[in-house]
Amino acid sequence: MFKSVFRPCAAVAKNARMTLPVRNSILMPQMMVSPIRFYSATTDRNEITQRVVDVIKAFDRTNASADISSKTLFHKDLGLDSLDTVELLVAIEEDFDIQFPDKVADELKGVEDTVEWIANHPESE
Amino acid sequence: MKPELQTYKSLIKAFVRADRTARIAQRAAERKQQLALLTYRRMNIAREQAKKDIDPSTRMKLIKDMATLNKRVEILKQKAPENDKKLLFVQDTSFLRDQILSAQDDRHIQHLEDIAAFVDNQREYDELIERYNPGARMSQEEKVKRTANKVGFQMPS
Repeated sequence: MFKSVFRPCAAVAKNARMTLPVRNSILMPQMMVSPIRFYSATTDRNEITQRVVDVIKAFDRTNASADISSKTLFHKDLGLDSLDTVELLVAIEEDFDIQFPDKVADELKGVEDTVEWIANHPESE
Repeated sequence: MKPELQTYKSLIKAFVRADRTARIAQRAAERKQQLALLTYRRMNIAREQAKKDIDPSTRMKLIKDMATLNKRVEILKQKAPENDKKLLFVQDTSFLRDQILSAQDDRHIQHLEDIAAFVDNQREYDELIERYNPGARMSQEEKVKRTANKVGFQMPS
């Protein structure tokens, strides 16, 4: 586990006599590895819209798979019935790893609503 | 949300989740198969090219074929099966749809709800079984290799 930490140190120690003044600057970046957290949350709306549109395009029961914009409505423009909409929302939930509360799921009528909700709830589980 | 829709949602969700791993594995296997086929064809072309008495036009054609094959291999290697958005949908939902539309009483709905719970729990159970038994899905070759490794040997390659 510590191998990766010690190996660079050994290399530095070997050259320590020559590079004593700069030693700190060499050591610092290896010693201070700041923990990186990988959140899947993306708050950029364009990115979310693109992802949602990609999911809709993969759905083979939609009418107009070519031109989907942020203004597209599930029922009117895509011709989805309520069961189709449920399927689509499940797909979006799985893709973003989120869960729409039941009350919200009723109110999501189009791409814009969905993107808005996802952008506002990055931590929703 | 109406109770029927809620049940439908949990059904769909359970099926999507249960399907996904299997479909990714299947696609990976298909990809491997295709790669093997392409490699075989490339080998054949290379064998043809190694022959001495072939006229220039055939040689050009062979080079061209090789290039297209190489390109196809590259494309195949870049494809990640788990990123396909089609995996987020159940392929054929007509059966589930009929079931939910013909459901008349609460008992039927409850039954469908139970099915969804069963499918989801079964998936989770399988995942746990796999996680706690890492060797369960390992190929025989890999098992032998690791067993040998445990006592400091290495399999001849």
